[in-house]
Amino acid sequence: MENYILLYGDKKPEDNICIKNMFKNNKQIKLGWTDFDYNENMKVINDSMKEEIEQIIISGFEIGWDRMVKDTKKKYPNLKIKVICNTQDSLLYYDYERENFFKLLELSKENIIDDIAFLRKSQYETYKNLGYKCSYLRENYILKEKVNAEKNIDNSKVQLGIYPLNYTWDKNIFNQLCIAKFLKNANLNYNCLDARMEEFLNTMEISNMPIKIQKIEEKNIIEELVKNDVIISTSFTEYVHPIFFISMELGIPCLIGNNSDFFEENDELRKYVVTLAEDDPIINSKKVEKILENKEKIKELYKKWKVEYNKQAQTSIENFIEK
Amino acid sequence: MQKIKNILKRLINKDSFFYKVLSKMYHFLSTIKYRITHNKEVKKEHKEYHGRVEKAIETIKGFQGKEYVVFYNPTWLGVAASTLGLFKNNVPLEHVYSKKDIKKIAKSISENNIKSAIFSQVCDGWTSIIEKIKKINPNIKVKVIWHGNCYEYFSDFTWNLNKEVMQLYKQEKIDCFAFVRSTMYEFYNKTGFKSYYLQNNVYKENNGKIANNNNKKTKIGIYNADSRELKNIYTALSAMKLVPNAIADVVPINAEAKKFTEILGLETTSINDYIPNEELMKRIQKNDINIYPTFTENAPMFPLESFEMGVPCLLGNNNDYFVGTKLGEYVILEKEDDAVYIKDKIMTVLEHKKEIMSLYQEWKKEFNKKCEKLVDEFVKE
Repeated sequence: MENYILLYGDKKPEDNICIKNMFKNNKQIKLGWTDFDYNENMKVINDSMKEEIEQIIISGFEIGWDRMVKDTKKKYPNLKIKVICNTQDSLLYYDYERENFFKLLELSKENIIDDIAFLRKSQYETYKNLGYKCSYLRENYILKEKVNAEKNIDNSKVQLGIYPLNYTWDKNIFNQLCIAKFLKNANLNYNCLDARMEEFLNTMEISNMPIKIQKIEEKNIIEELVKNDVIISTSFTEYVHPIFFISMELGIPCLIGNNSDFFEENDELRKYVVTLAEDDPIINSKKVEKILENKEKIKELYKKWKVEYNKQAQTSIENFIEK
Repeated sequence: MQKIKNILKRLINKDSFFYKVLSKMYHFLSTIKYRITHNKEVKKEHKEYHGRVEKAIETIKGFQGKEYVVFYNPTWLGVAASTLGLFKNNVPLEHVYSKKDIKKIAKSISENNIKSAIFSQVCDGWTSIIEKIKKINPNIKVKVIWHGNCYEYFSDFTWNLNKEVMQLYKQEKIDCFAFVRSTMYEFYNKTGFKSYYLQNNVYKENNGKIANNNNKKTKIGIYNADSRELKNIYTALSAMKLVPNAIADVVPINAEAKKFTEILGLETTSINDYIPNEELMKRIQKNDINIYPTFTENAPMFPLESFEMGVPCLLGNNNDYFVGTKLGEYVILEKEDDAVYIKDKIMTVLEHKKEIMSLYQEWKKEFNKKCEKLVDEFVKE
């Protein structure tokens, strides 16, 4: 279990929050844009090899990492190289995501990459059927330090929090902002990634309080989340769910889209915190109302669910490392 | 060094005054440059637009004394099909750039004694037509059908257009809006905009009669899906691969999606070209099922077209079709980014195809009545 090093880049800091939480032996490397980046990354790998590690796990597959992986395998043929995929089919529309994903599949076929971990069951099934060596890994996040979530809430209004960490289409930002219009006495706290978000809310006369999360780190996110009664994160498609986990771990219920493998279909918690209609603010405002009415129950359901989920996630990590 | 970096960062920030001035200047200068370097093409283009205005004026004359006319852009295929499916007095009109043409159109509405001018979405120059109509005759009602949902405000074009249109409403130059999705209608009503609800409709000669195809393999169609990320084409292709013995008909298919089908080892009968709607309707009848697993919509035309042509179609739960019905349980997707889930839905639909098509025919009768009633309410306002 300790024979690995996990390497991650800075392209998707929000994903790193969960990944770093799951794998404790981790180091940051650079995206491989230049020779300088390549040399720096190889130095990190060479230094790690001195510690007698048996496998490298790479979180994501970013630009230029194919060269790094090929040369590492050449130099250390017995070293296992595994990759945790950080994109899913719905995001392959983007050249960057698609090209790197295709490279990842090629290197897997050439046996340079020994295993690909997918965080979505359906992706795992698809590529397993195609003959790729792959694993299913359950994403997770466990709050390590207790935080007092109650103290920062302004109780005069219902405080809704929307904290997209990227201003991209898949975050479904404007439909999420609309939810507040259908809730009585609500104030919207949000990560203002573009001035248009504030302009939209003001035009639609929705009470709001913008902030900007300057650096995507656990500490900064927690600082904002605790100001809310409920968090909304109903993106269209999502690969890693840091906002959901952090929020629920803090005891603040979080509404998410139907884009994870967290729950069985009849799970009671799922009925509260998962929306099937990500782009429908009316349905989602009703979901938020239900959440607010059942806040304590949801907290209890989450605690119970999380005990089991932690076990499953831990087993999936162990299986992946020991493979 | 850090200070200089910070100043530069502030200056190139999208929200900064400096950035805004610079981008406006850039836009202005590039327009002038384009006009100078492409003088002939610009003139030719304007002449063509002028010709279309003249045709539109002739069409308006044919509707003299009518309750309403509806302007639509025939090159915006979805909006055009939606408009033609709903209204009778339709006027095809593209962008209008010349002040004279704007005035001519506004005048023709007034001179032909038309009581309401309805704009099915808004093209370049149409906001000026709206202003002109109200200036010439404030009693003529102006109505706008907004086909987008709030997701679209992510785009600069849509957001700026929406702001302009909202401003016109506040200045009482637009009397009301219509939306083709209930959630948009509710949202704008709640925000204080007089709004109506419409539903897109499609009438085809097959009327949902099941298409006969004797495919040896399972033929699955996905169309016009490679142009935008929200069309979710890659998940759809993965789902098709999971269906045993499947052939995918993907039109158009770009090089990237094609490569993905090769990686998946998915057999296709695809072509990389847009084909006219009539041809597409013939083509889809050869399929066992069509899929349309998009992330967000309003009132998409394709699923209805597919059903009308006798082929069941899966669609996302992002519109008002089939909601709360047995048919909906079969064909509405609740997990659009999950290939295994979509595959399972495909298999279920294939097993119950006859039942599904008969449920559709039943649903369509009621839906036709509902659409007519909604159009009536909107037009008579």
